[in-house]
Amino acid sequence: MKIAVVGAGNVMFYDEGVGVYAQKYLELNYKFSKEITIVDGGVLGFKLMTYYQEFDKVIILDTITMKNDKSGSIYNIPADELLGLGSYKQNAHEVEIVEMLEICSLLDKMAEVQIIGIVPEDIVEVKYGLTQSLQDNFELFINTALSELKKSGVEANRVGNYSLEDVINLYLNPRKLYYEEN
Amino acid sequence: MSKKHIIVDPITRIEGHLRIEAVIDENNVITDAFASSTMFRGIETILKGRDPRDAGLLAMRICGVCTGTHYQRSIEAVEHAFGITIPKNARIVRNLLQGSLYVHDHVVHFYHLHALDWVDIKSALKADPVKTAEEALKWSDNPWGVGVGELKTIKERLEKYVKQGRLGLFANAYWGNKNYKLSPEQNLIAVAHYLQALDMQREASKMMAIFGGKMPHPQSIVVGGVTCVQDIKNPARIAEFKSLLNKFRSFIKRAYLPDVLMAGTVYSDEALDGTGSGLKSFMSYGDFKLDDTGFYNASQLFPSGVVLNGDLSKLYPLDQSKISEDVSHSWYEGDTNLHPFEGETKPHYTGLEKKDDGYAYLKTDEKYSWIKSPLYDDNRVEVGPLARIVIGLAAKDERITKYATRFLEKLGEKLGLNKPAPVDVIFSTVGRTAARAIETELMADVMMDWIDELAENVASGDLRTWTEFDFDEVSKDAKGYGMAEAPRGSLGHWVVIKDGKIENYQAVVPSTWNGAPRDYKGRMGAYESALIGIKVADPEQPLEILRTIHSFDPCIACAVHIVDTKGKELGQFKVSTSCSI
Repeated sequence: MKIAVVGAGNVMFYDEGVGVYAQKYLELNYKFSKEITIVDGGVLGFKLMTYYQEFDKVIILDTITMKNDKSGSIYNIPADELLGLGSYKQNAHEVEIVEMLEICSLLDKMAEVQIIGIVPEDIVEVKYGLTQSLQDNFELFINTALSELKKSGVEANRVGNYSLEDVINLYLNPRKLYYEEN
Repeated sequence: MSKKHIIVDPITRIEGHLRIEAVIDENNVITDAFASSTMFRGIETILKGRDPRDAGLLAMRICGVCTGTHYQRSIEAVEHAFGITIPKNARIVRNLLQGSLYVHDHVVHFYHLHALDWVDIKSALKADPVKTAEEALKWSDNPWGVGVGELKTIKERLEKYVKQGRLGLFANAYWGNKNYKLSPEQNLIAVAHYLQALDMQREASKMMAIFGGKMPHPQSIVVGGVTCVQDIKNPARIAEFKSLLNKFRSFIKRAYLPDVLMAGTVYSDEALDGTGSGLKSFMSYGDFKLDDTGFYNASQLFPSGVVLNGDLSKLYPLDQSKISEDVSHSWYEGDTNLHPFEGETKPHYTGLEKKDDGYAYLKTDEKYSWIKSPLYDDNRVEVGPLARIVIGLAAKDERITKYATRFLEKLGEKLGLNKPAPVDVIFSTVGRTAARAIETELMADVMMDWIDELAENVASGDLRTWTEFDFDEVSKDAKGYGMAEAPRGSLGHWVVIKDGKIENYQAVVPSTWNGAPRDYKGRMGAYESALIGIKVADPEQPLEILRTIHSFDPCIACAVHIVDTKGKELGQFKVSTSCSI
């Protein structure tokens, strides 16, 4: 079973970067019992389709907008349900994620897509980092991803010691991120 | 799960949504239109004070589809400021990376983001596979993947999906709308290619990865050149690129172009009467340097220039100092009209008009969009593939004229005109879509030459990929711009550098030019203007609006609102998008 974890979102808009930070946090800190692919999705647009096509399971880490729920709340939803869930379509990359699901739904074979979303507090301000409520729930967000991986038989062992702050700093110093870490 | 009308309130969203308010009269003809968007409005906040060598890697996070374009443009702005000319290998590699982005974007745009504005999937269920295979031969001597056996399989798949209710997933498809004009067989051809294009697009992303480095974020371009010297030295990598390109090129010639010719013929009434023509004034910054004479001196694949009011006999040379951004109708302070070097971004959100019936409307007499209104020498202009073809024709560019003429000749033949279709047909929604296909074929062909040119240059012993520069020296006090063409139109980055840090930064993106609101004189933007006069067959199904807005390849998610003349909102509909700026 080929598994991909895709962190989606725009790091320029504060909490919207949470999925991207989370995938990097997973990549730097954990060793997995089976080979998985971890993708810095950013604002991927239609390039997401390739992952839906080439993998058996895709776990997307993202923000999710839920009316009447407080920031930091976490949802773990199969994509099938999401297609009928209008409220998810609130920010731009979310529109794409659902839209690409629509397009790929006509394929013979498409990955099982699972969305792990956290309700953001602020996706307005143009800055890197996360608000307090997302920082407080970041560990739970990571654990939700890890337990979803476990369902597919992937065990994780913590091997690194990178903090959330370290990860955010990498995105602020991109030459380090791209040319030294990789 | 049947047809969904999804309401997206664009104003609660910060970036990313375009809202169209179209006013229709009693005959369902659009009499007025307003484009409003929330867009990225803070790039300078992120980039100010940063090392200019970081600008490209930061800027590519603006938008997913244009990742590579923002990245390259930003680096070029810094190179221009520093006065650096990159080596030949770097120039060719950048052209190949950008070219791959073009062909990938355009094919996905046509089949997956735009085709369902022309193609009725449900009608394809009525098609006879044998007749469909015959039909395909009318549009191509060697059609791609539409043998009787393949068509039968695809039809069966389609029938299965319908039973499962999966076609209901398509939120903005209006199956059965009378403005769908293709025959069941023609629809089946397009559906077959829609599915095949899903596989083909994977090949295009592999092309990007060969010289771009770890995907999905390319990282092989740096200030001064490129870093992929190992890849260009490796004949196997070059051969792999060529083989992927060749296959994709075959699909373009045997599926994409014939399908656009087929749609163009069936929808020729709309092309001939200029439906969706809009401003008819065009601008191209020019792109794809063909020699190594450096910034804005080199000859280019797409020439730069401006054409006004559809007059192809007159080409105005492009002068970047004539660009300004007007904020009279945009949610920024004041009513300034400034060049991007002086550009300011001071948000001043004045909100929507409140209505009692639960909907809010744009204050169209005042400020109503986050997009500024860019002007060229005080003209509203359209940018994109159609603009590039128009400028190429006006510049009498041999290559562009050849590809465009070939398409017009085929269209003329299909329409039984005994001569090429008149060039004016390109001033239409159909023409905008055709221009993109013409450009894709041209690009795929010229990329075959470029990859050979790269291999030959490397074989000759030239392995230079980077031009050295003394950062401390060149970054004391510099300013520059990276102006070129993203797949969906003119993209410019302007940078001011002081003492090694970025002091000011502005990006003017293609959808700013096309999706802008009114300007200080009350003149419409390109989207707005293209909608005027279009008759909507069924106001509950704004197919015609989607078709025209999509023909621009908007890089913004979009909510369409139809308003009748009394201001009552009839519905809200989603328009698909390929990018999230």
